[in-house]
Amino acid sequence: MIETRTSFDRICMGILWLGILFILAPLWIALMTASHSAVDVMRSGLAWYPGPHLVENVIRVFTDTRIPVQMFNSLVVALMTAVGICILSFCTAFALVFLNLRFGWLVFATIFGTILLPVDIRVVPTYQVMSNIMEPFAALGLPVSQISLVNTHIGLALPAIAHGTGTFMLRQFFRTVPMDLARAARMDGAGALRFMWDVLLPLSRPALAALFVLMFLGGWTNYLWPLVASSTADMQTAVVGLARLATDGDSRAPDFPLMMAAASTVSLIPLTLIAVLQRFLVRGMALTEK
Amino acid sequence: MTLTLERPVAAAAKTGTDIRIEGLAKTYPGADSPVIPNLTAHLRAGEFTVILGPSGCGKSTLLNMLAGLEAAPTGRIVFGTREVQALAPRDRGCAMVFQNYALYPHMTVARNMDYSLRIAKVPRAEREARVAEVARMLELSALLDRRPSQLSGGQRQRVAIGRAIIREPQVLLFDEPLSNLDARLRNETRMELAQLHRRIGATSVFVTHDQVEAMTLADRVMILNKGRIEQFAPPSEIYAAPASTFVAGFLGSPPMNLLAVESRNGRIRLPDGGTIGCRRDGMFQLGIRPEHIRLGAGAEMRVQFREELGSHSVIALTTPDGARLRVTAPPGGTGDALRVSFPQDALHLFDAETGLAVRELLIRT
Repeated sequence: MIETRTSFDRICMGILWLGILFILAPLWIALMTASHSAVDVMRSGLAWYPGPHLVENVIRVFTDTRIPVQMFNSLVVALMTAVGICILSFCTAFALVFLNLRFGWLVFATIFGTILLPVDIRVVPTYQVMSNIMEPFAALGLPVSQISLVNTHIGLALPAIAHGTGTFMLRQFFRTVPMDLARAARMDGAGALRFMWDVLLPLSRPALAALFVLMFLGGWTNYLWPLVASSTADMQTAVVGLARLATDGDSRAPDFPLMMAAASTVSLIPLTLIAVLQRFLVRGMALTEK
Repeated sequence: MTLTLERPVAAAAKTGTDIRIEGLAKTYPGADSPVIPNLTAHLRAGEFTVILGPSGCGKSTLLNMLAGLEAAPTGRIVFGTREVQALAPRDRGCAMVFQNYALYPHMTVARNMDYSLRIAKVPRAEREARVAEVARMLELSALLDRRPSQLSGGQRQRVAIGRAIIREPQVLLFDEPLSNLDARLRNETRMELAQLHRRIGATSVFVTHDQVEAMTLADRVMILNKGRIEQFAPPSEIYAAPASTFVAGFLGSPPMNLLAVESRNGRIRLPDGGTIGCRRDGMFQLGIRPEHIRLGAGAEMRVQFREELGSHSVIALTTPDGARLRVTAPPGGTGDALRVSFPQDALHLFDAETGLAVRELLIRT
């Protein structure tokens, strides 16, 4: 146990509160600004206190902007990303840990490479592949037609799914699962798939939930790839849409209350998710079974 | 009719088969020497065999090969009349109890036990009957809806055994199942296991590095050293006539004293001052168990240290040659020196080079 003393406790609490303030202040400003009219904000700058126009501004987000449909896009893409990563990394981590692969370490190193090379720094080749996913087959001389996934939900999600973080997390978790469980299942007559389904999946529920939340948030807040891979406003994600609100103002002055109302609305879904699944998140990060 | 009903289901089923192991060998990839070079043995039907050896002697590998959890590339394993070395674990008719229980943490006791029956698509009514029967036998009936985390160590151990015997296996394998229990529980569970074995009658193979488990549970003990069988005999025989210095030094607490001696002109000079006749001249290892050394007469030896164990004490002496000799004595003795003598019929003789017993060379008078 770490020794606790009252004075030390107070200092820690002080630092904690400072940190909370530091994080919450921008959110507070966004929310407060969203509750004023555009004219007010033009006159007196960003607001620190509530005003009467919050509902009106939020309604304008739904009537005057593409944010609603873009939030739907975000939801689809983030769900596809999170579910895809969970399924893919569950299978890959299972193979790495429980199957005796001859070059397992090499496979793992390759998967680990995707963590070191995120989509952000390989946007151009990724775009090239997505604009015609049949290109590798065409290069082999096979008669295939061109299929482009650019500007589709799948195209927005796929590059994020092919990412090693989930595999790495689940691999670390699987290594804490006693090997004798796998042997016991084999003695009971369960094959690899039954063991995976009947034993490993129920045990992995907290780890998978944590992975799901993390990857959903990642999918929701992704900016660069959705910006590049979506060419129409109706296929853009909410985060890209938010950025566009600031720059698409033509000659008009930027409508700060509308932007802040939209930003607050868009944050609502990930915030709710964190609030609901917080305990899984904490437990999954610790990655240990009580 | 009522008589047959009273017999436990598991016991009413088939009794064990014998196990023939012929020319079994195994080398792990990348290893210089084989874990098991060449092993042949015959385990009789219904027999309780304990495989005993230090860590790394190949005993777990041997058990895993019997179970089918590890491939047996060379040699044959025959259960009864069936050659099983190429079969999957589920097709061998054997079950296993693991060291750390290896119960499925998310399943209830009942589910843990009937999981294998579900996989084998046994009808529900029969499954339930068998679970109830095994639970009654192992006194788990009140715990069927609990999860492993809600059970004590001993109860978990019984569930693990229940999971193994519910399939009525012909061969029961135990991978150091008692090593995780505390000393008191280990004693109790050991006795329960012995009783259970008598009731079930399956051929049992039990791997351990604990010699007390081996001595108390086994019909026969197989002592493994570097993948080779040093001795395969009933516990009493292993104690009375160890086949090699390895066995002599491994079994018994404290183990047998081994002293380097030389036979010249047909006689060996004993450290207690006496001599004994020997049919061959050369270097030997003389063995004598600490509990067989007689106190109060013979040569005087200096006491190095005493260990008081309550029921008796173990005293380490220095022989005139400077070797260490352990003696068990009544508790509470004092003094810097002791007189000891070696009864002739308690002496063992081993070849100095091969380590094998050459008891027949001694001429006892």
